[in-house]
Amino acid sequence: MRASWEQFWFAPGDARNLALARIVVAATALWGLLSRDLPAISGLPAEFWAAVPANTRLRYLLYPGHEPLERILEDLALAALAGLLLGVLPSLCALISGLLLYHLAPLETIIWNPNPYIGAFTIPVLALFALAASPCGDAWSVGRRKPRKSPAWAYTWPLRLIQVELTFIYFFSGYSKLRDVGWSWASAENMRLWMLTFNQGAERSVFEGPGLWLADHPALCLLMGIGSLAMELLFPAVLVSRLARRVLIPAALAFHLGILVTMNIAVFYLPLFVVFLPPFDQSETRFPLRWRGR
Amino acid sequence: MMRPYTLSMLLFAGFAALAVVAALTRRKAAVQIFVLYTVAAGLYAGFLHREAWPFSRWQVFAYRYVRPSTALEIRGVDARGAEYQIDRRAWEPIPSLELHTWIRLKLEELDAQTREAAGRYLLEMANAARSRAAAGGKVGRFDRYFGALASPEHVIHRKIWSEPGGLPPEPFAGLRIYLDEWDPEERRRDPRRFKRVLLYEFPPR
Repeated sequence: MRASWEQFWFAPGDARNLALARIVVAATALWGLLSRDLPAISGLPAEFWAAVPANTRLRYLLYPGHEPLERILEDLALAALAGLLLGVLPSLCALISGLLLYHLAPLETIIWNPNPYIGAFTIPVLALFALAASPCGDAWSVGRRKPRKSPAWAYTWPLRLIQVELTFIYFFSGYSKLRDVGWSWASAENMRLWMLTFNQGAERSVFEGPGLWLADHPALCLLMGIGSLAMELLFPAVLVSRLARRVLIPAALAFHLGILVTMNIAVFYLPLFVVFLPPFDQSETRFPLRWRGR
Repeated sequence: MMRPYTLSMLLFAGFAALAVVAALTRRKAAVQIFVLYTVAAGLYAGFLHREAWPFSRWQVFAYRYVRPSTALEIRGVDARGAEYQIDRRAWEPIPSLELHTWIRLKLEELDAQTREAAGRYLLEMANAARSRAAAGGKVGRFDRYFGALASPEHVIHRKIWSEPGGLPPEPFAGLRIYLDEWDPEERRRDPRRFKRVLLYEFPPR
């Protein structure tokens, strides 16, 4: 057990894999932050904050009427993320940006929900703290002529932790469906009715044809339901099996493409999938990507 | 019994504190504790089905379909009484999905005066966005840096005011918020088979 734990989390790793994860996490968070206007939510009239409970405000230290302060904090978060991306004081930048995103991210949903898990920043916040505790600036850092050398075990666990957090998304999505609905979630009827509902509103969707076409094929609806549930529940296997990575990662990407064109639902965190494909290992220093099996 | 939000705060505080300790010491034992804690917190949220953001239970689309289907429809009304669909980008900085959910879950809880003030503000937002679009500017704010490559919202929508003839010609004098209800099988046979109920009107009549 102990040996497996060691092997999983602390096998010798390569500083460049961790540096790549650092860059992708920082870039993804920057992309999200610059594609929203979170401080402006603080500046909304008090009516929009009227239903926000006091404990939610306290939990994230978020209060209405402080847009200028939130803008300063957002600028700080952007600067810290840029520093992290470039590898300038990376641990400090990761810590600052992680704390600030924990504060800012709930603004996306706070008017009705204190938990912005569907939003852009759940995995980035967790990943930023992992990066803060790691030697993520040992490679590919601006202004550093000689790469710094940390123990080889220190380069593996942050990637593993981000991988585990990504697998939680799928596994617990599947688990929630079984817990809240049961196996009938995957039934052709349930899939068909949702598919129709997502494509029948008065407001026309970006993609309309594929969802309605699929709804008219019950066998395909059933296949989609079973396939989705199977992919979600089996996804943690990518952590330990090369075969699972070869099958389930393309399956997850196909799944997201499928729900985009049939239900108009997009996801934000797909760039983070790069942590499942670390291109370097101890003996392999060249691109292209190489699947690492265990 | 600890309240959920207190537990969520403590979970996050522990997570952040252990990350700081691991960052400062760089000792393997500190890293092991941080890893163990983070995984345990994720498993706690997932298996016990407790939302403790950023530790999430990931309850994503875990619903059985229940009839009827419903959708909110917010429409602008000009001075002549003509109704127009409002481009979802008009509500930015509020993501449109969050605004729709807020209207459905929270607007009713507000007293009439507060509700009217919120409606007035939404009307101002819609008119400001329409004016920007009419002047050749951007309807919303989320694409201000990356344009079409901005990170998507969870549910994507058509940019109806950017489509030819899609922009309402006149400013809005009011807003109407409807709830549409339908049976998906009936509406598949006939797209006109749905019921529309007026929930709110701003300014109220």
